[in-house]
Amino acid sequence: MHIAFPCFGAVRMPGLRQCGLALAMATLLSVGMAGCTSLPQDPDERLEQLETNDPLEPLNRHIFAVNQAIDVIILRPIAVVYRDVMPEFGKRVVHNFVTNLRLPFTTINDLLQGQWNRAGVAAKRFVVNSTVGVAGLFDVATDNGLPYHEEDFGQTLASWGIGEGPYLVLPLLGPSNFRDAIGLGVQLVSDPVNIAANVTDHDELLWARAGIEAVDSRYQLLGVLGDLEQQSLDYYAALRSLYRQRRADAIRNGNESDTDGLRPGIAAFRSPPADPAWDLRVRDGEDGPLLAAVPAAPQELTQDGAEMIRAAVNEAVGPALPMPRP
Amino acid sequence: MKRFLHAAALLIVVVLAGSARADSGASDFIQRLTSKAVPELTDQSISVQERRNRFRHIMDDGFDMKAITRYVVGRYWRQASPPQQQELLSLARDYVVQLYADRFKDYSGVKVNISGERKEEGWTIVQTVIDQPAGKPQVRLDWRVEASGGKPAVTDMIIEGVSMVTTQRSEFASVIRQNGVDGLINLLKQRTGKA
Repeated sequence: MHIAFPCFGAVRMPGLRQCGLALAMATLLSVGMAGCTSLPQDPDERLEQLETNDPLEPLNRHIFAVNQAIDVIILRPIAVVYRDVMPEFGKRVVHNFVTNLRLPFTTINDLLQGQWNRAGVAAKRFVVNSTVGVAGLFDVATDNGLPYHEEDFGQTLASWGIGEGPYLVLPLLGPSNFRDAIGLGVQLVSDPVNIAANVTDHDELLWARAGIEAVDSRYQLLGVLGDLEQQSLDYYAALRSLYRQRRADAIRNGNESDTDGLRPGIAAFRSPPADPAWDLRVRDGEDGPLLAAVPAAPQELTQDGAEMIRAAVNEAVGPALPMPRP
Repeated sequence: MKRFLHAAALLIVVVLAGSARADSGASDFIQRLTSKAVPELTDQSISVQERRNRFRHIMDDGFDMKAITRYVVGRYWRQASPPQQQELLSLARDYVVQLYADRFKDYSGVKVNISGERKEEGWTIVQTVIDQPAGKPQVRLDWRVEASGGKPAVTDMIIEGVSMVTTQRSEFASVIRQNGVDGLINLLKQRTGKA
C-alpha cells in the first residue's frame, strides 16, 4: 500500500501495528509542509531544490548565524578548556558514561525498527557496562563483541518510510529536519533515562546530563568542525549537505547496499523527475526494487497512468547519466 | 495502479541488469592506486611542496577531474563562458590539492583494505576499509570508479557515507546562487592563493 504525500514520497505501511503512529506522523508532517508543494517547473531548478531540500533557507541561515555566535562565545570555549584541562582518561570516562545512558533509548528504537540483533547488542552492552563497567564509566563491552551504536526516533520514523521533510536548523541544537525534529521531541518524553530521572524527582539530573552531553559532543567535534569551517566555501551549505548524508547513512546503518538510489541529493540526480508532475523513487520491495511514482503536486491523474509512468521511466533511466561528459 | 508499478519495477530491473554487465577491474585499479599513493604521500621525509606535487600527479592520473568539476559546478556549467569554464577546471584542481594534499602527512601507517565491489548504473563502487594505527577507529571509504577515455578513473570518494563530490556540489551551488560564477571563481582564487 502506498500513500503519496507531496514532498515526503510514498509512505509504505508494512503492517497494521505501525499504521496508526506512522499515519499520525505523516499527517503531522504533511500539514506542516503545506507550503512546499510548489516546486519550480524548470527541471534544473527543480533538481537543485530537491538536492538542497531547504525551502526555509533564509530562516535557517538566520538561526544558524545565532547558533554560530552562541557557539563561538560559549560552547566552543568550554569545549576547548575541557580539551586542555581534563586529562585524557577523564574525557574517556565521561564519554563512556554519556554514551552508555543513550543505550536504553537505542534499544527501544532498534526494537521499533525490527532490528532484533542490534537491539540485543545494545541491551547487553548497557547491562555489561552499567555493572562490570561501573555505571558505564568503563567500556568493557566493545572488547567483548558488543560494539556501540546509536538509534534515535528520527531513524525509526525513517525506517517506517517517513520522509525527512525540509531541512531545519534548530535553535541551539543545530542541523535537523522536520522528521528528526519530531524524533527529538518524542525522545525528550520517552527516553527511559529521562523518565527515570523525572519520576524520582531528580529533574536536575536531566539538565546535568544535557550539559555534559553538550560539552562531550562539542569536544568530539572540535577537529572536524574546525577544519570544515575553515576550509569550506560555504559553511552553512557544507553542514547542510553533511547532515543529510550522515543521517541517510545512519538510517541505512552504514549498509551501502540498502540505498536503492535513495541517497539524498544523488538520488534526485540519478532519476530526475521526467515530468514536472511526478517524482520517481526506487524502493526496496519484497520482490526486488519497486518503483514508486508519486505526484509532486496534489492533483488528479488526468492522463493514462501506464503511459505516463512508462515515459517517465524511459526518461529517468535512459539519459540520466550522472556525469555530463565534456 | 499497483500492476503498473510492478511493470515499471520490472523494466527498471532489466535496465539496471543490462548496465551492470561491463566489467572494469575497478577493484584492481583502486588496489594499484592506493598501494602507490599511500607510501608516496605519507612519506615523512618530503617537503610540503613535494607532497603537493606528488598528490597532483596521482590525482591527474587516477581521477577524472574534468567530469568531477563539471558535476560539481552542475547546472551553472552551461551558463559559464568557455574562459570561465577553463578557469574553473584549473582552479578546482588547485583547490582539491589545497584541501587534501597536506593531510596525508598525518596518515602514515594507514592501510587500505578492499572489502567489496558493487556495480551501479554506469559505474562501480569499490568499498574499502581504512585501518588506522594506534587504536584509532576504522573508516569506511567507498570509491566511485567510472570508465574515462578507455581507462578507469575515480569520480567520487564516499567517506562514512558522505560523498565528497555531493558535498562540494552543494557548496558550489550555494556560492554561485549568491554571487554568480565569477563570485565562485574569485573565492576559489582567494582560497588557493591566486587572488
